[in-house]
Amino acid sequence: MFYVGPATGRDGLAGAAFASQDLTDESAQQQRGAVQVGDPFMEKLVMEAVLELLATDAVTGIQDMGAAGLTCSTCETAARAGTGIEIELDKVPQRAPNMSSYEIMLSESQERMLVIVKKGRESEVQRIFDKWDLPWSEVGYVTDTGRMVVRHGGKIVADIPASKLTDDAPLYHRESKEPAYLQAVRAFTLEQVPTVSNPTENLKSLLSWPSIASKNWVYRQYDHMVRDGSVVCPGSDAAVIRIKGDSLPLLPASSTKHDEKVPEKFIAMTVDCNATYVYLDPYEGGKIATAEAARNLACSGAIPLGSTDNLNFGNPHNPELFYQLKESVRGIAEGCTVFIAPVTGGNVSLYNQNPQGSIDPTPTVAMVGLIEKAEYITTQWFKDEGDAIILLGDLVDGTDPLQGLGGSAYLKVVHGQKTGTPPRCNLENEKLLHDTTRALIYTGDVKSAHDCSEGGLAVAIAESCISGYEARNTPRFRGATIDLSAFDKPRLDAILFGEAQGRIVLSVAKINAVKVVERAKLLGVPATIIGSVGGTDLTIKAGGQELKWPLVDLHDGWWNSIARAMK
Amino acid sequence: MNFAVLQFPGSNCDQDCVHVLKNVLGHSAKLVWHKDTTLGAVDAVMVPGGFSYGDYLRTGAIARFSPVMQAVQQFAANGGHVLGICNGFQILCEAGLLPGALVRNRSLQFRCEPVYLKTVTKNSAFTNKIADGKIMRVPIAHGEGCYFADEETLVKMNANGQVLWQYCDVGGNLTDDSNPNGSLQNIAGVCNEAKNVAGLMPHPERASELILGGDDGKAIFESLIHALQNKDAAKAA
Repeated sequence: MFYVGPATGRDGLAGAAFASQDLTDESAQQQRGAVQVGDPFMEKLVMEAVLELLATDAVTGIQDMGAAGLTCSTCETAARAGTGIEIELDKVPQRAPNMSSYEIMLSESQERMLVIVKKGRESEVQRIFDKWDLPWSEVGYVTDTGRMVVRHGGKIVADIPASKLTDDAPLYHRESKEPAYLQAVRAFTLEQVPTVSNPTENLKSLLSWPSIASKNWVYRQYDHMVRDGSVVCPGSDAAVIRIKGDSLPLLPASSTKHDEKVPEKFIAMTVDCNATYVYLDPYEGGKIATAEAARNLACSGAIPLGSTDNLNFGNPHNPELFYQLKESVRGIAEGCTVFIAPVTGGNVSLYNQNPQGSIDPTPTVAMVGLIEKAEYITTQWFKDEGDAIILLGDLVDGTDPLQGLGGSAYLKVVHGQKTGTPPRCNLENEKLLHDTTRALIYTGDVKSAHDCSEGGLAVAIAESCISGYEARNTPRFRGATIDLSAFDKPRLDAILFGEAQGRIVLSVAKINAVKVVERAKLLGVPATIIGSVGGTDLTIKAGGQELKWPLVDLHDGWWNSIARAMK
Repeated sequence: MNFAVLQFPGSNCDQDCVHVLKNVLGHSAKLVWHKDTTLGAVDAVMVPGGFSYGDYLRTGAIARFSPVMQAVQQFAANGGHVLGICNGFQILCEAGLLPGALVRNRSLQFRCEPVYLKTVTKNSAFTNKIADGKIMRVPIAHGEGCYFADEETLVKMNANGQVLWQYCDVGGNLTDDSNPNGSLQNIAGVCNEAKNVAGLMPHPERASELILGGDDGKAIFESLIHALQNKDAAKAA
């Protein structure tokens, strides 16, 4: 068993425990040491060396030292393999004097890995890590006892069954109680929302709102193109990465798999969560987080492969907050089952609260999907003048008394209210919509696909008009003329900004529009031609009004609002 | 042609250069480790992008002392062709193989985005295959890409035709808005007086395949390959 990477210090000591307590001024003062200090350069060296090592075929097990450092990586490696492990702490490289066994085992110093190497192949680890000028140390060995034995200063300081720290750890069943605020949320009706008075201005406000606005101020500060694989960069429903044929190093000539290359693949990735929905209805909100992620993948032409989640909540000892956690996880589990996107791992951060209260429950869901052919890669922006715009799914959910405005961005941004039962998510209908979208993309007829989420249909269409991008300071605009006057039942604000789930906006060549609509209906998904691409404005006819926005105006707030806020 | 692509600790565009030279352009390319003291039999050297030595001290400042850079100095002194991209450009400036220096972007932020480039002269081993008047769209990704040289050097460089590429707008105008980092004279790439060593901040290897959004950058590699082929032909004759 090898320890590779820089020496262990007291930084990040019990970092995971720190992340599991209330944040107060006092804790910030006392526990600064709990914050790990990352070093991307060291991480890069460790990564390169590990890849080179993996290509030698000498490694039987490997795990990074993350939360709970050596403790977690040793016992998990042992438990997973059904073996035991013995570790000698005196051999662990240390950069702080007199560290106790406890400190060495729990330090979360970054960029360290635990590598289990086949007996007799130790010299390969040494050669490769010396090449990269990285510290390494043989710190222990694998046993068949099922026990984790820790030695320090000639004494055994711990000797416990490895599984007790992993799979056989105690399970807690915390007390859970429906939060009292949900009574008021459910009592909310549309009568409490005045009729829309300035929809033109409202769309601009929504597009400038940080949750909806372009995130370019963030992603332009990170290299998102390195490795020559970014086929769709940030700014569409999902990013798409090309996995090149030679993306893995070849195994040594002695290996039977020496000639095996990875076939070229395209992977789509997205991260989603509407924390307001989860606050207002944890179960439904959890489902919607998975549905939105899967919908974004479908719009990109991808089939979900798997998910990872990041559960950010308040104090789970509070029964109302535990209810949020429990119910939203139930929703995520159901969604991932329907979309066949198993959760392969995740990250939990609890106790996110200060004396003023807790954060909105935010279980973000990251999903990756496979795009089988390069031709299937689809982006969200409109492409050509004259193309037809099609809405897949119902404009408004007829069973929702709030017409999609409950928990909506519109209610929050325009009316300053975070309330109302959020839209329902019918997972079976969602799945059908995603399958249908992919089927349509596979025919080659779909030029753009964009999901409707925060801000509703008007925001989705506006984004398809303005999110095309050529280069620095060079957006590519495609105007649109939309006619929704056939829908005269719902309120105008619900038509424009309602957030009914299960909707996707497509654009297709005009000549294919009827065919695409018929095919969608045949597959069981409502489909309507709602307009066409062209010009330099967005025009929407609805509720007896004709609303018009020059794209330059919409783009300015959407593209620049975060940069302006950060000045 | 045979290319050497240098690999420093922290290089991260090394594989991308090899990918384009081999898989896109069909030439042979090998990685050369920074501790190596020789380059082997190669026709040209690529110094790739990344954050060599963690950008400690100053970008490129430590890499220039790597053993392999001695070999590159020798190779260049003998007229060998060397192209530095991004961090490679910074390293070549630090090594004194190229004039000027690259300092912090005027925004004080890292920038990753496609920009437009104007080619100033086709009279170089790195630009001869770029179409007349072509405005190339090529991504940048750097925090220290603001080109600086003193007035006297700039005058000399312009007179010698050493400024190869400048940032511009889609219409080819050298506007301040189109300058992503505050470079003097919108300079994106330069060459040495002998014109066998060049460097640029934008990443042509990220703009060499249509699937990545465009292949304008390929013309820079094709120019170099063309120049190397001519050199071979001249030697044979």
